[in-house]
Amino acid sequence: MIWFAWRQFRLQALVVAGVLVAVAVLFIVTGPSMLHLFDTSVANCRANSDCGAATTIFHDKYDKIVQFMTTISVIVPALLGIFWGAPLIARELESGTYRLAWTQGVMRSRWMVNKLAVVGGASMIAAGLLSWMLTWWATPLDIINQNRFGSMVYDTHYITPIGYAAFAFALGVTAGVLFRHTLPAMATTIVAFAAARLAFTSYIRPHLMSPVMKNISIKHATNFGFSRTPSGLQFIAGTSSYPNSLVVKSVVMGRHGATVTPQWLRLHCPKLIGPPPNASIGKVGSAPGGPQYFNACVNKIAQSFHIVMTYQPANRFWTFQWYETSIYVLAGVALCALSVWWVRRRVA
Amino acid sequence: MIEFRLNGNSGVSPYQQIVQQVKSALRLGQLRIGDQLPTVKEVVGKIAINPNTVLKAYRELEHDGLVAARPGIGTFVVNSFDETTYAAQRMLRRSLEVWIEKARRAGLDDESIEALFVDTFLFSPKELVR
Amino acid sequence: MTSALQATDLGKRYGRKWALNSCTLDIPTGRVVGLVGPNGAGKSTLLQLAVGLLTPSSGTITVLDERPASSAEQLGRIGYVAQDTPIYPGLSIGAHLHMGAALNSNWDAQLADRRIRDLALDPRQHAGRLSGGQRAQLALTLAIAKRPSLLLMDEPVAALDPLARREFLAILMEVVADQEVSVILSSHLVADLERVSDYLVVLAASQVQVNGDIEELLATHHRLVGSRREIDNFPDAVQVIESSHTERQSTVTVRSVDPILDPTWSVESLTLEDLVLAYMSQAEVQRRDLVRTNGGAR
Repeated sequence: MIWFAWRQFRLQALVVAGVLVAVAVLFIVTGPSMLHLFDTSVANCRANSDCGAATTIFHDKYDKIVQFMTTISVIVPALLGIFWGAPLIARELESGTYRLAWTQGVMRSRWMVNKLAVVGGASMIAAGLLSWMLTWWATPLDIINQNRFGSMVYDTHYITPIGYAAFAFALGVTAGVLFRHTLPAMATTIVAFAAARLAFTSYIRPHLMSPVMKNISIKHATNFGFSRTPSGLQFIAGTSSYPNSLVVKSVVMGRHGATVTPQWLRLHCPKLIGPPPNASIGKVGSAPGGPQYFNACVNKIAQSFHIVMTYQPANRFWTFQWYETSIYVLAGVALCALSVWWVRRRVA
Repeated sequence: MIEFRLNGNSGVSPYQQIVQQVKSALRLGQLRIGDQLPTVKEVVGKIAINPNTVLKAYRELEHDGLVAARPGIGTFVVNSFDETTYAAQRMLRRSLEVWIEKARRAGLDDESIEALFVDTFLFSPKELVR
Repeated sequence: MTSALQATDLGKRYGRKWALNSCTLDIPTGRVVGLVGPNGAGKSTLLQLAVGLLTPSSGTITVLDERPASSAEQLGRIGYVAQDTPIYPGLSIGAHLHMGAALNSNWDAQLADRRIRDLALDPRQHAGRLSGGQRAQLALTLAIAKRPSLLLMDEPVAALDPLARREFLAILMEVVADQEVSVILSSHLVADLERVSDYLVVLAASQVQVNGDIEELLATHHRLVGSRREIDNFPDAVQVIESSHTERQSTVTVRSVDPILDPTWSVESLTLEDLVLAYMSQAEVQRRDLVRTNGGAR
């Protein structure tokens, strides 16, 4: 039974295996030179105080390829769901071969569980292999960017892709069982998968554990400034002193929940004309007033306000990886169970 | 070995057609005593008909005394439909009936008649004396 | 076990249309059953219900005394050839046989290999490249190599040329001669069924019109020809199936266990085709009457 599930799946597996080999070749070809460049220029940049220049060279050389590989890694789980999951049962229903498969000497549910195990397992393995290769190859870059909790790393490295693949596969299978045709199942899987991932990343991931709240003085902010919005001048401040962490929210607050409103700025910083529209943070712009009014205003703000940062510390990274992966895998298993039940009772 | 053909439009039922084809082959000498009829499986494999049809035909032929089924081996022709043999048999049967009546008139009971016949038959020469 | 298939008031509905309606059947084992009827009469539906691919909307059905698809073992005892013989086009013939061996506990690999060899088929050939007749033979091989007690076949020869059709039926009859197997074979070609079946089920207008041993059916159905008259004064034991009248003549198809003794009728026997047509046209007449009175079909 396992043998037959594999036999039907063989061609699709070979295609993906080929892709993985091509990716591996790409990594093997570019990896060592990337590592070499890192070792020679960036690793020692602090000693030589030219980190800015070193990282710029690094980015210039490898940004395109990194973006390419990261994009691939983000969509691979979805592709596995569409091309391995959606047709799994839908193809049999569409072409009528279910009338052959379900009249042999095995129960329908056993037949289906075998297929789910073989192909679902393969999708998790494929995603895992890709993730492992990418994690190894992108190590220098990750050290430079210090942004492990960011989507470019968190969603494509380590173990989360395995969860995404399992979930996408299960979504595909379920869509196939419900729609009974491959194409609508594929379309639905893409949409549902994207929506689920976006929703989870935006609303659930930041709260997998209760975030930590910290008050930070404005004087310790690393980037701050004013920007012109339709409602008037706004003050923004943040800090990048917490690398590899996940910032959930960062606001400037005063006593009793007060914020730096445009009215407050007009009252307390009258000489601050403000930057022209669309100016970036930190620049005052070509207006009379100049830097001393900028600094004076910021100091005034710092007396009554501070940054309240809600975040997940860097040391929670692996806990989050495990939580998120497990949730996706369990959701996948639940969807698979639903499909098996549906096939047993309803597809008739 | 004989091969059967089925005429779907003849109005004669399939099993009757088989019976008739066997009898016709016997008459023409295409089938002789000792020949084996094709097995049911062989027949239906050539002309796709229900095996029971063939079985029914063979049973009727057996009932007519023309063939005999030997379990595990096959169905064999045991009696020819040769006209001369058939006529000779009719004649012999009548002679025997006359002889039996004579024996009865002489006062022999059934067992004595049978014993007399068997005894004479066993001691008769095995081959024709020319 | 004496019943190959038993149905009580079996019905299957799609939306508001009943594909099969109030079917009651008790088909004994050891027969080759011809299931005949016009297209859309419900033959396919009945066979799919028998093999568990559909579930009944009403009534019950048991096959080999068990609910359809109730266990792997029960599925293993039934060989099913679906309409237009589905196979996996991307898999080789050999892979199909491997599948049969892997999925059926009673698989006879020697029989399967021998059949493929006799058909002069290359096991490595992809099943998608086979002709219609070869596909049907592959499907038949898959069904018979699992040594089933019951073979269910849904119009397996409908799309085949005459030679392929003959070869398929010949192989089937060999299997029947060789193994103890019951067969239910659906077709809309009465000529084929006449050769191979000994039991008949006529399905028309989604209902069972008549069923029974063919010999008994032919012995109890007669065509009566006589001068034109009313035909509603037959005794109760005589059932009128179909009647037609010209100016001077009446022709009636009847079912009667007792012989017809009325000398004013000339009694003829029917061919199987005549019998099937009589029931099918009666069903059609009834259906049309129903449409006319109800303004819509059930």
